[in-house]
Amino acid sequence: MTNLSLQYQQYLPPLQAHELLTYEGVFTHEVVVQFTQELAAVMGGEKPKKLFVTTIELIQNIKNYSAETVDVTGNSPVGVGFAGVYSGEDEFISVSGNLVKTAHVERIKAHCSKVRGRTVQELRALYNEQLKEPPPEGSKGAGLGFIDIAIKTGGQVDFEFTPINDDVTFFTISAFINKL
Amino acid sequence: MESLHLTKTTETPAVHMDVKAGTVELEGNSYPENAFEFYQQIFDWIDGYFSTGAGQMKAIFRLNYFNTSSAKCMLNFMTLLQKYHAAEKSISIEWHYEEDDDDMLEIGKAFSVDFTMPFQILSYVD
Repeated sequence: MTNLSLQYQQYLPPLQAHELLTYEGVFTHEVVVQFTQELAAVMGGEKPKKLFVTTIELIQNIKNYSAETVDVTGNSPVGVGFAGVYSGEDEFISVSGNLVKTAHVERIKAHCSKVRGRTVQELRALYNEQLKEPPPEGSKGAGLGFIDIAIKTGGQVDFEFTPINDDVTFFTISAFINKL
Repeated sequence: MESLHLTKTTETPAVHMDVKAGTVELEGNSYPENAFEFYQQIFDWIDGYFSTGAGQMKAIFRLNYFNTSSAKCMLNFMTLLQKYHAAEKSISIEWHYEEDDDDMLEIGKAFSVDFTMPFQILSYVD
């Protein structure tokens, strides 16, 4: 696969916000943990849980599901992608971007549409229902990620797909978390 | 059967499993690389604890935030304790949430409705 990492930024949606923290590259578990620690440092004691937990969910998605992977240790391939946290006027924005197989786009879009246009109360009911289901095929987690992000953002989440070629599509999730 | 203590890390909670007191207590964040593996060691300890003939357990959850894989493990945790409740063991749950944390409150409420064992939801101020 062509290495597209260095061109990721061009696919990201424009944001009216200050950059707090960005990372582009391999998302090993250690990077996931380090990213949250850096975020805590950048936030200087402010710890909005919804921002942290949404960011964790987004970057673990990259680690587990990116179509571009690197096998650093020779034990198991981990995902490559982009993560960024921004501060807007009224909200924090957590963004993830990674390649997905174009053949999987329709399935991912179906997951996205499940959480669109629902109230937080409806989303919580869906979450509790899904929690009791066995994880969907191909899911390394619980199949709950999008629902959880929709709950934490009060439905303020954008999904974007930018076709790169027949094989891969760049998938961006932008999650907006209200400042208190 | 020995008590078991796991030290808190950035992404895993402190876990105190105390044989004498009959308690399991979790405190901190939970987003391990492999949540199912992390929680399995706790479930194994609980099974071991009851296999010695112990009659009661109090499980105390005082979590700051957790990812969705950990939420699935929390459900498995509750299911395991409910099994011992059904087997006439004296089980009680304390689910602590930080005062303004509606997410932790709501998931606790959902568990308290889904399971019949004694379940207390308590708020704390950090």
